[in-house]
Amino acid sequence: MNDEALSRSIEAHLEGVLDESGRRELERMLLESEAARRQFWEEAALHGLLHEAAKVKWSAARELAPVRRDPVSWAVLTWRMFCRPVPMALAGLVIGLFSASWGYARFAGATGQLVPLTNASFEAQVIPGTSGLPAVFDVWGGDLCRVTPAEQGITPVQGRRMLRFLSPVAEGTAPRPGYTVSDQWMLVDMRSWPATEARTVVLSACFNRLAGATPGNQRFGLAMFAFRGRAEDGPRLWANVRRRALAYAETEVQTDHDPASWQRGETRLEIPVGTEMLLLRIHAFQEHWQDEAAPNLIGHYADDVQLRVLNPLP
Amino acid sequence: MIPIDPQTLRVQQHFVRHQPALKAFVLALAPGFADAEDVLQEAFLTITAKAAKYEEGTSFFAWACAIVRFKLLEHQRRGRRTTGLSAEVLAALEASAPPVTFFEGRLALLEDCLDRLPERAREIVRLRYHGEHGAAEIARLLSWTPNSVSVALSRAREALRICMRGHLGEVAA
Repeated sequence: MNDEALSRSIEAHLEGVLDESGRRELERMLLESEAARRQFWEEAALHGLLHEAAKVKWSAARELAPVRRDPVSWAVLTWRMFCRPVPMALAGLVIGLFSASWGYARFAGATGQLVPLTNASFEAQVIPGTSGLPAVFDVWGGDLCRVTPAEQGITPVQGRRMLRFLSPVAEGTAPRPGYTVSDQWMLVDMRSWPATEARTVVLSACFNRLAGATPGNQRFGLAMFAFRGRAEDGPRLWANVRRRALAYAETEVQTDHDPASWQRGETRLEIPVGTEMLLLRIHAFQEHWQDEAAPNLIGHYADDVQLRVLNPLP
Repeated sequence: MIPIDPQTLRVQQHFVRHQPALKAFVLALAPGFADAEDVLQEAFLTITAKAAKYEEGTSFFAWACAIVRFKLLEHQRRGRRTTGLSAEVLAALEASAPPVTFFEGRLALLEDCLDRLPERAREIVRLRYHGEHGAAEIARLLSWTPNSVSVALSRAREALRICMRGHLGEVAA
């Protein structure tokens, strides 16, 4: 039988409105009674679990939404673009003013669509899978990584969280010597897209790292692969990706030595008619033999992954 | 070449696997979302640094919870917001914390239970936990009083607990 007074105190604690006398009373109850501590966990654990569950549930909504396109990006963006938050904000202001005139008419409106990816900015704090390439749509999966708030002088480009690549191996996989990469993949279901017309999509993401990495550890990459098949075929298709993909595009991104700035990379792919799924890949390079001081990719980050379709969906 | 330290890798993998439960543990003790993230992040760094001290085969969750508790106390000593609970209470709560399966089992049920909430209750839960709004902010958004939001949140959480108990009872049966 739960103690209602204790329950009210726990609720106040969870909502951050417990005053000093209330705190003392809650502490007294918790110290005196094992039953009170059990009740605390029964009620307070839900608070933490709800945060996680809500992020999963409400960040997973995925639908195509028309967005105003960024004309500058298509005019001048190469695969290197600074993503420093303040310049980005200023750029956004400029872009906003710019696109209100000719830019929007030329690049946006009916022609521009963002494909909202699940957890594209890693805000959901859903742990990306660490067991290799996922066999389901719309989840990140790959090598060992984690989602993190700002740390080590690096601030997320978008929102409060970002992806940190931790290791070039998946969970349960032995470390591999030599030149390797830490991957995260996502499979996107394309079957609802019209199958009669090729479409061009652009994948972009921002990358950043701690200063001081050796040259082999300054690079990131992103890629897209178009396949026919089912989500559960993903890992099998990946095994010989360049032969099995209908089409693919990939690029590398060289990062600078300033943790305050991010570099955005992008790669563009014309998706062949008949494509059923698209495999997105973002990765950080690690060369063990060159980077003895930091073998675990402790300072390599990605954020704000975007997938855009240039010719619109109906 | 210096290979990745397998012990550190294993411990980081444990952390990643148990992160939702650890986060729930932190949030129970330090209910502010941003504070909890700070604590969890610092705990991760400490856990990585102390990886060699973790004994494989023992409860990683219990080991990590102890580190989290110390991180909470460090936060409090630095005058940051986390929880007003004393060191003695935090220690008692850590000692009586449920096992990781308690958290993982309930997390797996929550999505279904959220779907079963009445629409208004679900919206308030969404604003609180997805939007990370406090009761006062939710009240402003919905043109309610803060007290009515608090009551609605409390009822929604109780409904979720009842739903999960029902699920767990079904599983046990």
